[in-house]
Amino acid sequence: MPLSLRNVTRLSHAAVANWTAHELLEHYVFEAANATGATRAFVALAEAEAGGLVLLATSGAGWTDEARQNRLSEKDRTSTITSLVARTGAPVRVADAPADVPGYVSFFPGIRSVLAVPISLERDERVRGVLNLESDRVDAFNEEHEAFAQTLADLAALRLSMDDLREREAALVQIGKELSGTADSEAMLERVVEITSQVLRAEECSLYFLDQANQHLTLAATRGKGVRPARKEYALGNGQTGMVAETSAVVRDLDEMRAFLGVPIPSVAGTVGVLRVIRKESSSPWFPNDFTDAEEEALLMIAAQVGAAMDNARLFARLMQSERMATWGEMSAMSSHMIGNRVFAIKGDLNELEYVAQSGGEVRPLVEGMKRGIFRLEELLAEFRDFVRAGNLAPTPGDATELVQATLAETFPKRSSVTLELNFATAPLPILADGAKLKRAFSELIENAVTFMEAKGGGTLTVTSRKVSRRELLSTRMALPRSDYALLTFQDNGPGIPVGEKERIFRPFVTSRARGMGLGLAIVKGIIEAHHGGIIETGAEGQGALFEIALPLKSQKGVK
Amino acid sequence: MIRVLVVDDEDEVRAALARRLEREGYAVTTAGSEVEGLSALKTVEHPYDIVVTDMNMGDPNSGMHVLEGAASRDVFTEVIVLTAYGNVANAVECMRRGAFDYIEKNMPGVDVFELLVMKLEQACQRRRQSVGTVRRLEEFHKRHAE
Repeated sequence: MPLSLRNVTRLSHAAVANWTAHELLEHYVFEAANATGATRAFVALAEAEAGGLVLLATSGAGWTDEARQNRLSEKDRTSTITSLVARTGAPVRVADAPADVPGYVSFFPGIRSVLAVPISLERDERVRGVLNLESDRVDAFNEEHEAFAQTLADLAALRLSMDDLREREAALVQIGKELSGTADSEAMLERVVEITSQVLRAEECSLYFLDQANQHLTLAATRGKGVRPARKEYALGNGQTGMVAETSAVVRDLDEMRAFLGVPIPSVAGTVGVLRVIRKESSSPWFPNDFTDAEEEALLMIAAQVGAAMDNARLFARLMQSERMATWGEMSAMSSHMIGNRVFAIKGDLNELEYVAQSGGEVRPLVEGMKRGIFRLEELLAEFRDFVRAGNLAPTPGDATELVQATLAETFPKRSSVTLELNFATAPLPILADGAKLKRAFSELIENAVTFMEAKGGGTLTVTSRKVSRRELLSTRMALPRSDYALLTFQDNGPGIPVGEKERIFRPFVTSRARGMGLGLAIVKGIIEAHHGGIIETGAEGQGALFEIALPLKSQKGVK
Repeated sequence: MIRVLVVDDEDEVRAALARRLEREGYAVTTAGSEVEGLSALKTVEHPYDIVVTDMNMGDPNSGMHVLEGAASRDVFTEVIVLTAYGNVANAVECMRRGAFDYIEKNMPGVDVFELLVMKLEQACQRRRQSVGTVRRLEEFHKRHAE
């Protein structure tokens, strides 16, 4: 009595026990052979990468390494009962195979009865594999044996699909993390297509974004092996990929060459791109490589996450924009006040000049005064422009330490009462940087430090760089996403910054110097934040200022 | 000699104003902030005849505070407020509170310094009239009392 209640309990427990799927299948094959009195048994699973069935577990007499290797070899694929079950998803029970099945060639000598049941959850789902039992005896398997074997196969199918779901869930969580965590968007998208191609077992996965201006899809990230490289661009409606973007609908297709699955990337603004996966057509004619409903759902979910991440990024940008707009009001009032005063003074000089010219007085000092006034005006305009443009970057790969060194060479005075102390990372600190902008930011800090220290007769400017891994809590301190950062510090022993002022100093129009609009540190902060970095001041008042700048390290994965 | 206090936080502006008014023969004292201005108003032996003050010196109501300080020292001191161009709202409020007039610093196409000189003359006139009126009133009271 193979299918006793005790047995069912034991076997179904095994399915959810802490075994690997492979261990479980070994166990089931052994149990199946034992309970049915089969001469031998095996489980073969359909593997997309192999393009057909792969022998996974065996039990019983006659198995050698060679036999295992050849059991499902190329010539065997189309003819065996195993592949028939895999193709149709229906069980096969044969009393005397050599007599009943035309063209049957037994792999092991002396086989008479065969019982093969599909491992699949539902009739219409693709068959995951086959549990195959063989016997030297004629009519060795009855209905009860078949029911038992099918129960084991169903339990195995449950376990395999559970593993799939877990893996998919883990991948989705991973993608969610990538999308919310990494500042380097290029590397982030590369990770997304990498994980997607893994979880959907696709030879190619590509992500396209829709360029609203020219209505073209542009390749943003791709990963492929053994397939021709993804096209860089699709016109809307062009090809299956372009079709997805045009119709905002899923395209799932299978032809002789490949299986295609493309889904739109949704956002609040409609379809913003296409995420697609491609599988090569399998070499086995019975083993269809098309994408399933479950896989379509998984891809839709990933695309939704990408879309949500883009919406978030846009929302964030808009938030920043509105913050900037609020500053704009203040900005225009402030700048018209400052520029207005400069112009008023120049007008005063002009008024005096007219008078002096008539009365034959000394003209020179007035002309000098007007010149100075106009130069100051130009300085204000430059500062204003730098502030407005702080966020407009043209980033290229660079090295944080090299940029600091270059800035010091350009801006640190040759003769000064201030001494320079350097402590730089020896390893490279690769970042995506707008070199000119970052130098502008660094030079502001260097010049501030030098000015303040020279005013009190000298001091030491200490500049350092080092890598900070995500395990250190720098990102938390600076309210940045968890990532690896390049940390740059500029420390002086000038007057320092009072505790209450540490955040205020980065706001626009705050200055302790007579000149300029007080946008200096606001410009620095704008530039650093446009690089997805952070800046804080952590020095002790009276002991000097300490500016810490974190810039996200460009992950090597993102480098093409 | 008519005594004028100029209050403005911009060095160049202060210097330009003082220079122009001195050319007209005024005795000019300058103050570089609202606080300095208020203290000058309080400590000066004889009250200033006229005060020229910037409206916005860090605080958008600095001019108003200087106006109040001048009035509390001597009601006959005339106050002219300088404002940023197009920012008339609080200047009008100053007028309501007794300022003589306001001048927009950056009025396009206008030589504001000449305008200021003109306003100053008018302010002096009004001050003379006010003081004269009060004197006549006092004399009238005196005679009446006799």
